[in-house]
Amino acid sequence: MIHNIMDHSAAFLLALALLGACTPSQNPSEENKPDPLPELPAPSEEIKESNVFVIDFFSTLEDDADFFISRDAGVASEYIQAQSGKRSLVYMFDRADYQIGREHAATTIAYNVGAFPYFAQSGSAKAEIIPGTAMVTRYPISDYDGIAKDGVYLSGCTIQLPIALTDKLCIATSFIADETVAEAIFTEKKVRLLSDMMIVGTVPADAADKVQKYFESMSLRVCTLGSTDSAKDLIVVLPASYVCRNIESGKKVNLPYYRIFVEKWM
Amino acid sequence: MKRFIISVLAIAVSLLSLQAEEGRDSLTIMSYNLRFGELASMQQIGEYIASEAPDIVALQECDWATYRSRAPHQNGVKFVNELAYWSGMFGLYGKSIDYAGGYYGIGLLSRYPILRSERVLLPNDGKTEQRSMLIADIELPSGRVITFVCTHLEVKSSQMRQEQVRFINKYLKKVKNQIILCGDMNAEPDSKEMQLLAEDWKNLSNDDLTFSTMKPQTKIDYIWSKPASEVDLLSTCVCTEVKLSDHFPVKSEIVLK
Repeated sequence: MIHNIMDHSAAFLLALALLGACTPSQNPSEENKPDPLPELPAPSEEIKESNVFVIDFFSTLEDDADFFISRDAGVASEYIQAQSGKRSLVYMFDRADYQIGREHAATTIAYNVGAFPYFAQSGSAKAEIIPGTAMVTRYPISDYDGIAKDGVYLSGCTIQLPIALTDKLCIATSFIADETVAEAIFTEKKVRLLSDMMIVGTVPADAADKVQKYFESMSLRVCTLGSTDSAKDLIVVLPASYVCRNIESGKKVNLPYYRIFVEKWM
Repeated sequence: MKRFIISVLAIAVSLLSLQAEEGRDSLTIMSYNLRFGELASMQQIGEYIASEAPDIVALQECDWATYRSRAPHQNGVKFVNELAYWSGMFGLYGKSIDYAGGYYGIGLLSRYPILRSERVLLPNDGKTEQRSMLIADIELPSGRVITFVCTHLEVKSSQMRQEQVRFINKYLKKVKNQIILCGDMNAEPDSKEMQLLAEDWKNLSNDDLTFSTMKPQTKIDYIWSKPASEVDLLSTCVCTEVKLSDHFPVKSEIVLK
């Protein structure tokens, strides 16, 4: 218990320090250009399995149409139901778009597996087809957080982590088109990104390096994964107290996915 | 008959022109207390909701995987998920309390994506049941974002309801969007707590009785909105032909200016 409190205190102090370091200066042109930052502490080499949680991110990593236009939500439901061992905290389906009045894949999958659904909007509701990500979790969610401003979209839901340290984390998603979008996201959600919000999203392959460097300069941990022939890279952005330990790729029938292993190490 | 058809057409045309008018949004809102599904299946309720084609629905007395002896056909059922499935809308659940192996609370259904949401516990003196409100920011097809709030106030104590209303008013004071507040307020229109609400909010429902469906005696289900000056009521009704719960649904068509 005392150990846990100390861990929490250390994480809190680190978040405060990072927040202070990232506070914009008075000069608007200097906004979000932080003072020299304390180097991020290296995570422990030893992985504490009980503090690891998994997120399944289904994506073609192509900037194409609705994921479920040629794929079956029933297959996704079967994958979730059949999962054994370390079950995922949340299942995300990139580009599971929504057309007003039509049943959405998140609703279908959640109905099939008896879980909580969420549609993370990543484009304007003015469009006939609203791009977004379907999210499904077994954990109760009522609190969504996000940004919908000047074409920048970020959307996520807060989940109580089922790990030894019972923390809450907002798991958000976004299509981060370039460094400007990354900066807009950080400006809006600075406090949470440094403490209790992570992003699992996509970034155009040719912008991945710049976006990664931007977030890292804001004292966030970032990992990306792509392939030479994919239009987009997968990007995972984490507060300093979390670390991405591994990303495995796989396929369920014609549903490509990435299993992301995240540890709360501090 | 001919005059009737013309009247209907005139109303339809005026509604369409209102909807198309720049900067105005037409919405159909519903509030429905489900009585923990004792009287109907979620499929029946979901299909009924779909047939009414509302844009947003506030739901009260929603179970999540409970086991109740009074509603054994609902054992293990996750109400909002099933209603979302049968109505083709997005669902959001807000737990108020742990109950009978699952949760008991409120929910909402929306035709439009939910940008942000929050479940907030209402004041409670420890002697009465914990109540909550569910707040959701929803982006309409016009791009306007509204804040939709569903609640279910304390049943026995008027004092506690008044405190809950004051809390809701204070909590929502910072919201800049048009707010729509719906729910089972457990209070009649001339009660102190509803008078308190009426100071700031526009009542978008009429005084027809909403409870009970077996023997209608009281009006306790409402649709409110503020700022009052920014919303017009086109039509409202208590759907007295629907007996899928012990409450009647309340439905209003409104225009946001």
